[in-house]
Amino acid sequence: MNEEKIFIMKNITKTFPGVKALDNVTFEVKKGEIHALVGENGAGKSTLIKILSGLYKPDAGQIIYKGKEIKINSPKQAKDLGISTIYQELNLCPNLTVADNIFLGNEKSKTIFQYIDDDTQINKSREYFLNLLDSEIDPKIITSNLSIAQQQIVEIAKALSYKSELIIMDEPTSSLSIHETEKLFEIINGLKNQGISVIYISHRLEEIFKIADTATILRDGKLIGTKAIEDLDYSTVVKMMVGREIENKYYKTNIQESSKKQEVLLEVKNLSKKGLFENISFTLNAGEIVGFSGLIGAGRTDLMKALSGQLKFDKGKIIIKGEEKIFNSPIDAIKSGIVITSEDRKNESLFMNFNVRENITISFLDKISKYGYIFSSKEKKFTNEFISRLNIKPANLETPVITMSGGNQQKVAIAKWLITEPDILIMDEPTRGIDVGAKAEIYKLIKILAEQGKGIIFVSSELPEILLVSDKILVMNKGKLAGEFLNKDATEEKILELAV
Amino acid sequence: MALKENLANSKTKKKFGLFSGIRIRDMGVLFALIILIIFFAILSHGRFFTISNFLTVSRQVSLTIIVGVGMTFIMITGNIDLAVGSYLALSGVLVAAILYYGVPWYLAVIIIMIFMGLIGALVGTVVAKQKLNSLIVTLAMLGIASGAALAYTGGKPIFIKNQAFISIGNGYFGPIPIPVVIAFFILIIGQFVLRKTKFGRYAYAVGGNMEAAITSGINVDRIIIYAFAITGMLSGLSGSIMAGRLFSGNPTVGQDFNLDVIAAVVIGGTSLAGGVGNMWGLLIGAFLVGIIGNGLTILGVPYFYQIIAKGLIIYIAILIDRQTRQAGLGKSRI
Ligand SMILES: Nc1ncnc2c1ncn2[C@@H]1O[C@H](COP(=O)(O)OP(=O)(O)OP(=O)(O)O)[C@@H](O)[C@H]1O
Ligand SMILES: [Mg+2]
Repeated sequence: MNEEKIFIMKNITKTFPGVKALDNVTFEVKKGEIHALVGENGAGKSTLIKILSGLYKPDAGQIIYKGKEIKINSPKQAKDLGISTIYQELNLCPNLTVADNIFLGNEKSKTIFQYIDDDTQINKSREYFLNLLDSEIDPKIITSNLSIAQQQIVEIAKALSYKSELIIMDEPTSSLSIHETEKLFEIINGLKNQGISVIYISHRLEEIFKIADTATILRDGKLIGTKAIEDLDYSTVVKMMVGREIENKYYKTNIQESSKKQEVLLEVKNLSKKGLFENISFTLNAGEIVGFSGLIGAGRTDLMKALSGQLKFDKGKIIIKGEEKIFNSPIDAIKSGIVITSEDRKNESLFMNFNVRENITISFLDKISKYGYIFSSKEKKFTNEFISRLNIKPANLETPVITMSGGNQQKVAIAKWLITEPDILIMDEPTRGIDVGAKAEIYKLIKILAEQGKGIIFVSSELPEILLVSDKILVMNKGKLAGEFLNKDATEEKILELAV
Repeated sequence: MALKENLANSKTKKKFGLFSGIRIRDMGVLFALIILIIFFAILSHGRFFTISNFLTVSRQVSLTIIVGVGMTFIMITGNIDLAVGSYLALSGVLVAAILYYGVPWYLAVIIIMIFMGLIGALVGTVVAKQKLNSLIVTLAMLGIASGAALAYTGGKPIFIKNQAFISIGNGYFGPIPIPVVIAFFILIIGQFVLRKTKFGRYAYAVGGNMEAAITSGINVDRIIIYAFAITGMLSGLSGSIMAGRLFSGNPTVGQDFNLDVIAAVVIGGTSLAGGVGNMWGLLIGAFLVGIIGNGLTILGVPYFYQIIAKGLIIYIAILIDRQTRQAGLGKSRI
């Protein structure tokens, strides 16, 4: 066999205060292969690739890159070596334009005066978006105006704009819908044909089987195994990840047949916001889970923001339990019993200066305090309950969220609202970056809430999970409602047809 | 199984207490403080390291601490108040004026605290509702308040005859100066509010991530207004103590006070960017600033050089602080 390795990471160990993130891990990738890296939240995937891209230094171990032992001291050095990385946490400068972000540190400049050639940058960016991902993001727009999914596309374009021999993708599809994901797969296969190696991290295991040649499985910082994808199947991977068989069943109940009272919790009538969404009407009953499907940019997130008081709409009505409500701020919405778990945990949800406990209880303090005094024993009790229910790791109240893995941060962001037991819970991409076990747990919690008579709006770009949890599925397309299905009538094909 | 582990964890780590603010990062500045004390103790041949001098320093820093408690709240929300020095002058002048009309001392102090609290609330309202940068708003307020104090008095002090009032600034509680006792209680209450109440938690939230605070349903404007109002009130209290100490309301006091308070808070580890900080850090910071002044005076260094030395030492302290901080938390977190 003449399979050349692009790099070998040998016996890598990395410890953070209190956590052994990587324990003697050996990881190697061949030239021109697509190598998947899988493991539960907090298994050490991101830490491993951050070492390879020069962000962290290993405590012990060697890196052999193209046959030579090297030390990678900075991201700049990694880039010069031909390693480019799409990080899990999006890292764009919100105040710059999309084009500026793509060429940051790599500017196209004109003449000896080095002023930036905006036109070239903008045209090139537009080319990237269209050719690569078939998406029409305006490169001149200020980045903070983009949705999380759009930002993810920009990150991908940015990584692809370098000439690299190894591209690392840490959950590139976590907020992409199926359409963009397929596009990305075409690109990845193209890269492979050019002999470029790709490390691909994802919690959507189906993707791994679709795209990867090889998979390496990590658990609690340890290497469990590296295998060709042909030698693996779904349940084997899950078992290797988790260390035991997990019951990943979710029992659907059919709400029409059950004798639930048909109390209407939320009625949305002809809601419109110019340029974002138009004439949206639907109802949400007590005990019902309504799924929202659609492509990126279909206006789902904006609609949800309007429903939760974060965005003013132009026309239409929001009626909660028969009473029309006007929300001037999220405070009003929360008072009316409607809350939202944001798709953007880093900017809109988590407090990076807080630990797990403080994050989970921030919207729950009224319930565990009196005269402004917080009862710490109650606070701990409730937090511990959610840490164990969602299997948050490390299982410690006092861990600063900034040191947690992406998936565990997401769990904290979800727990923060689940704990308040709202009447109406809107979840915008709640399972983004979460491992299989925790996903099942979240579905279960949603179900329990529904059984208690709460209403849930579940926004997701992952069709399988929409089909799994929703009683009713609404499809949005370019700001409009394109259709509505009951769960029993819905299929992936039907939904896609309306969404594209 | 997992739950048991959690419970065990939470028991072993009792970080929730009132002292939860103290972290390794404070140790850097504490270390600097100790070095400084040793340094002055050796150079001054025993004149520095005495109980009576310790009490003198404590009295000097007590005003910094009282106002610093308010400033810490403001800075944790991600704002700053540059007007506290002028509040000191304004409230001193006004309290002297009220006392002149024979108002009892306690009533005078309460009235001034409420009045200054309202001024603080006004500033906070402007900052929060009009979304203006607090640096600029309070710079404007600095001009207005010190101008008002000067205009009202014509630049001359107003003398105070009320003995009870004077003793707030000059008296003792046992061997301890009264301002020190007051500062001690304010500091403890401040730390309590910060760590144990909703207001404290929300202040950290507002400074840590404003957008998340809004979506979490926190009344962000109210938190900012409260923080400024508290600082106004505490400035009124400090101004009264200062006036008692000087037997007069003097419109020119408090010139260096802004520098002292902000230096004490920042040296104490409260982030200028918001979201981080605590009162124990303030305590150490205030003593560091106070001891530099006091030690140099004892050594006979002229005042102008003292100001230079203060500036340099503040710079060094912040460097040490940053070093310890980086050792604690991974800085290159993506
Ligand atoms: N900067 C840091 N400081 C302290 N601990 C950290 C730091 N970064 C990561 N960790 C810890 O190291 C472990 C591995 O984290 P890592 O981010 O590599 O997980 P992951 O496999 O990428 O998980 P996810 O699927 O959730 O992204 C976790 O326990 C995490 O809490
Ligand atoms: Mg990760």
